[in-house]
Amino acid sequence: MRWKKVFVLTILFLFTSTFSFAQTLKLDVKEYTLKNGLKILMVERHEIPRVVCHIYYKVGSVNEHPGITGISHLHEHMMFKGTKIMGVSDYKMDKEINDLIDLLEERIYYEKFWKRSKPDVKKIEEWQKLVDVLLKEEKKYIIKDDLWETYMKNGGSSLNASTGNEVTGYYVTLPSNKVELQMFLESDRMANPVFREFYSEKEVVREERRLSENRPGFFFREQLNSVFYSASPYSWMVLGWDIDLQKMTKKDFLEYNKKYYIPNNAVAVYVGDIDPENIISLAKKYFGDIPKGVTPEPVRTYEPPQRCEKRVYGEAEAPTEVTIMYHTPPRGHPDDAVFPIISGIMNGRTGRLYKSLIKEQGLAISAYAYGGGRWYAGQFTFSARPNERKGKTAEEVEKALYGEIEKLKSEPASEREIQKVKNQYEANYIRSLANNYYLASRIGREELNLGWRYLIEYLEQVKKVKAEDIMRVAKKYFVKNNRTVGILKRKK
Amino acid sequence: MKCKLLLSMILIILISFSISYSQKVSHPSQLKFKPLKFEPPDPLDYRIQLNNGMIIYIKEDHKLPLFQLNAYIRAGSIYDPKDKIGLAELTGSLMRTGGTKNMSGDEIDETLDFIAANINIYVSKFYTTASISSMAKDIDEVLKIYADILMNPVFDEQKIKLRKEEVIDAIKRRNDNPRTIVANEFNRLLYKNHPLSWLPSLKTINNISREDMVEFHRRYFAPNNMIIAIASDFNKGELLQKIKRVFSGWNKKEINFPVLPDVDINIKPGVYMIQKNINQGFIRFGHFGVRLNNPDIYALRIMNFILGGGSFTSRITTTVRSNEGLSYSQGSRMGEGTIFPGLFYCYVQTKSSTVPYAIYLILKHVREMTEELVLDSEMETARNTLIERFPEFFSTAFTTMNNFAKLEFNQQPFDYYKKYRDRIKNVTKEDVLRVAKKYLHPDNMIFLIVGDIEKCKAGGSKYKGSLEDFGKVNIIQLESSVRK
Repeated sequence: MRWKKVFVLTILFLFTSTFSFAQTLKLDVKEYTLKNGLKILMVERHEIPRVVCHIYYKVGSVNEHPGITGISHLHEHMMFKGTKIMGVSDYKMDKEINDLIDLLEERIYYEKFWKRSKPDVKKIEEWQKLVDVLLKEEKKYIIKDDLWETYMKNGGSSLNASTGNEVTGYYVTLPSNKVELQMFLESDRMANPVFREFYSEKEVVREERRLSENRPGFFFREQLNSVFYSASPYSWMVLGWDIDLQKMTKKDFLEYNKKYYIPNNAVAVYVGDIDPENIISLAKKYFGDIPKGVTPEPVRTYEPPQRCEKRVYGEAEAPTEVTIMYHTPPRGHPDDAVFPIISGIMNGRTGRLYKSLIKEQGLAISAYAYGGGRWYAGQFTFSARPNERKGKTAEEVEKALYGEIEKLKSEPASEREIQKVKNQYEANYIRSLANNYYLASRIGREELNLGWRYLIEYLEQVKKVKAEDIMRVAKKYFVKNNRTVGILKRKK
Repeated sequence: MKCKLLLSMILIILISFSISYSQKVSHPSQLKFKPLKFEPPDPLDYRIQLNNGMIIYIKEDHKLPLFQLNAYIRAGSIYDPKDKIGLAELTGSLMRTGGTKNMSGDEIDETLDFIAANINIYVSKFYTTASISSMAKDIDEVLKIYADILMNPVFDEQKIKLRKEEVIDAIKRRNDNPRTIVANEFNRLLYKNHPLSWLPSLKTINNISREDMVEFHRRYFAPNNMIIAIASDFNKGELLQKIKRVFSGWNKKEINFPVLPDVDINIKPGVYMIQKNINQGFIRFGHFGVRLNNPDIYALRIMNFILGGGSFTSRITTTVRSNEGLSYSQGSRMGEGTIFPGLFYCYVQTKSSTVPYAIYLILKHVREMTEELVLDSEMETARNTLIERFPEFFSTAFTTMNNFAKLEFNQQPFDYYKKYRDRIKNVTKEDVLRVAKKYLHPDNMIFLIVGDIEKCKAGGSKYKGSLEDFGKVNIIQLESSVRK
């Protein structure tokens, strides 16, 4: 999980820089909005005849509530199961069978989870047997992973999808003569998804969750996160709780799909060897007649202010680690631009944490600072692993981290330190432009939040950060009542 | 006359309208695509060899003000002495952090960080890469430091201590993650005592001295032992002059590579289990694979694509994940070793109770590959996927140069890319059956399972047999020394 965060941080780094190359390097994004609200973003790059085609929906785990946690992610999986024309040889037959399966599964669900008394195991077994027979029958009409295979054999690469806290994305890179294929398939599954093979896919997702659970320290980090957020929907992971995955019904699923998978809740991004005029006319042709939906309500529950320190202790077959988390403002708040500068000052071999905790004091084996604004909340984290071979403890490292945090409040950072971080942002921003995939990802996601131009606005804000800002922000947010501390110790 | 003109105008409008708003087809298979032509660049157009033996692939790239360089150096951990495993890795990282005759390690870090330049040295089994990523305006400063690091490292004792602590920490964490365990232990079961399976221990790391690193560097780092890829927003001729200048005085030298032992390709088939308190079995099973220069390599790639390499279009994923819902990640790999044979293996992670069933299903697919011709539709998907994606090898100037450097480093022919698509196209389903019969041995495999042994053994209702069906079950104890 930490590595995931570091990765997110790196991506953040990539797009946060000052702008001395601004003249030559401005983002040349062309945009178009269809009548139904679907936004199209385009960037021309003609090096090779390939096009990165992404579509992002404004839906993620923050849109869930207890009972359906993990549904955004499961939904992403189900979007590969086909439509009325994809993944099926006889839609009518398939639908009849599928409806029967749903009926039986509903009965099993009520028997298993709604009864106060013990469920009737025999009944469940009988229904399950019927389901198995129907599944076998349905296989005759299913064309396995049709959409995936169609993309593949047409030269699709970087073929994938992912679900995050706020956004779900569907990705493929195609030969430039085949962008129409993506328009066909994506508009088809936006308008007519059919969720066949729902119950076995739930099991796949539960295996995916187990895979995460078996990473060293996962359970502790999951607990820590849910303690850190007391009310905000960031308090559960994208994977969701296993009990919700078990109970989630087809009905939940159809409602969720109807609410969020609408053109006015999505953005389609094309980066590569394209002709924007052609993209627009293809988009009109394929996405144009999908009806506009009702704009979903923004997330209601923001994290209330924390009033006291929270501490979590745990043990696992994982290295001992201290994690100190602070609530910070969401992306879009003026203070948010200061946090990348803080992490820049702290990290790396020339950063304060390495120099002090590792090199000079020999207290830690590794130490990082990372985080920043998300859409509806923010968090900034300091973490370190004590050098146990030298007999150093988690408590000593925690104290040392506070020492560094206090220094942020009391001493202005040097000009050179701040300039170094700004230089790195500028460079990493330029580097990021070299990669069509990341570019598509950044502009697409930001578009759904504050608009893609905010990427540049944010850079401008970062560039203006001064030593006083760092002290002010540190004093404001890095305080005891605003923190959650996690101490994970290796199980002996 | 006028009327005719008007008519033809209307016709033109109608035609152009019908082009831009052509009727939607009802299935993607009916879509017609304009042909697309793509010819790969020729490595020899970018290749230069300097008098000191250094080989350079270089291309100007003026899209962004960047300088990117990567060198492949024939110096890898395969050359570690048995009592000093970890030497190559330590040498590489200390070259980067341990200072040079002209600058201390800290000075180098401060200088590079301030100008946002990265110099990285990464050591793998068969080679070391030394790379630069910086702004083009900083070429002079970065190249000077880069050359200094390669030619004059001093391996500061204090920095050695710091790095050893990190390495030892990594050794201690090695067996925390079942994913790492399954990879390391599968290697060990196949390659046995060969250097390919060696991993550093506290003892071998403590055995390594500064002098060992000085000697390792002296022995392997030379201009004639490296191939460099460069893409830069800078004039090619001037850049080459700069490179000659910074490396002047660094001379060609003869390198005596140690004679590496052969790999013993006999295997002890059976089921091997490692206890770990987790809720899934992490499974890997297979045997030896092939070498990169194998003439059957293209047929093997298609074969493995269909078996378990082609994600959702492969048989293993379709059965185990899509049909049965047994796992999230599963498939097969056909290892292509450069000097020694790689490993062929199937992999899956599934809850303990479905471990035997998942193995049974996958093994069945392996067996079928050796018994029956694959379908025409499977051949078409595999071939088209590989052919249509081909331009991605050249997605940026730097990717292209890097691929060319790697090609020569691995002693592949210069026309590799030129012939690539035809070679894929020419593979037939008869070839696929022939190579499956020749290279897959479903009855002579090593099965490794990391998980909760009793629960994995117990299995579940879906499979009536037991793990013994796949071979004699052996329990492996992980080296407990890593924790000491």
